[in-house]
Amino acid sequence: MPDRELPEDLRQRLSAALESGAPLVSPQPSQAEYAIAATEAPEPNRRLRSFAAMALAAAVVIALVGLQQPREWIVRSVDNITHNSGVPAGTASPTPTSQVGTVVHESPEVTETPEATESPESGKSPQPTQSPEHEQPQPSPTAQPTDGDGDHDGDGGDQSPQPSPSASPSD
Amino acid sequence: MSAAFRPGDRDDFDRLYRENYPRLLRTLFAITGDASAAEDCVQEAFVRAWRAWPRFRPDSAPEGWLHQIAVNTAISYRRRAKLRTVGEILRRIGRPAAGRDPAEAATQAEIVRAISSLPPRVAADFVLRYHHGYNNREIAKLEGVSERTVGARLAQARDELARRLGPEWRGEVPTSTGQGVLMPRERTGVSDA
Repeated sequence: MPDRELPEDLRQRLSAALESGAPLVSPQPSQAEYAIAATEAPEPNRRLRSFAAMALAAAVVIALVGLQQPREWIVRSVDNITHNSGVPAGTASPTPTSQVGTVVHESPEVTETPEATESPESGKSPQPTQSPEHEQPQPSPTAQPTDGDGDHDGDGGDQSPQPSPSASPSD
Repeated sequence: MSAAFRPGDRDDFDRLYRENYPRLLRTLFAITGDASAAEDCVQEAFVRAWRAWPRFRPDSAPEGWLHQIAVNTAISYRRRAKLRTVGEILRRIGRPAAGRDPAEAATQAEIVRAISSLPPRVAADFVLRYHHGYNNREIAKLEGVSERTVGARLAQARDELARRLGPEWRGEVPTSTGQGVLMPRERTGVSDA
């Protein structure tokens, strides 16, 4: 296969055009752009490290948040119990375990007894003039035969003569 | 072409850079027609090659592999440059083209401009053949194509340059006595390349 050639003068003109148009500077690999890219090659490792650090931090945060939730639930439940029982929340503060144990066991006994004794007394003291019906059952066994027909609506509660005869026969 | 290269090795890649930089710079200058663009394309090609260097297969020639990367980079540059020059071309519409006598000796800038107007792979083969001194077989091996393809590209380049720069660029067939004979335009073609 014959190779067609350019005349020598055309080849020289071609070479002169290319060499003068793109003068060749002695290439230095250290100054090439790929050398810069090569120095930046550890960047993926840096990214990987930062990603791992972020993941670790996120895991720690999630772990802490996960531990806080049951604590908050316990605190809420204790607060609810103490609120319902009337015990001040600060009294059982030393340890969470003892707080729960003491309050749960003590609250029904301690709180119910004063309420049971105090509520009738406190209810009676303002109410004798307003609702005499609750006071009447005590004198009723003796008063029923005499007062049952006339005063069953409490209209005579304000009338002073009625309790006095019933109280005198009972005594 | 050179000693064996170890993929991924930095020293070998530096050697590849030193040995191939001049050829690639001139080849891409012929493709782009711009020295600064050629320099940028060569650097970009080496960056691409460096990233792919660990995956390079030693059974193929690294010069050809690098040449393909560089030519593809220059082709991408020319596509972008064409888009940038659309506005300039539109501004030139309607103006008469500068007249020129084909017999007039082409200046160096005109030679570069004419070569850079060729298809990129055609321009690359022309420079490899007539500037760097490769023969058709070496070019075919470098580019991974057949010699027939290389011959066709060279014929296309000569024909186009003869039309732009003058008939002497059509080339000559070397005779046994070593004196070249200018080929007439009718006989230049792919078949006898």
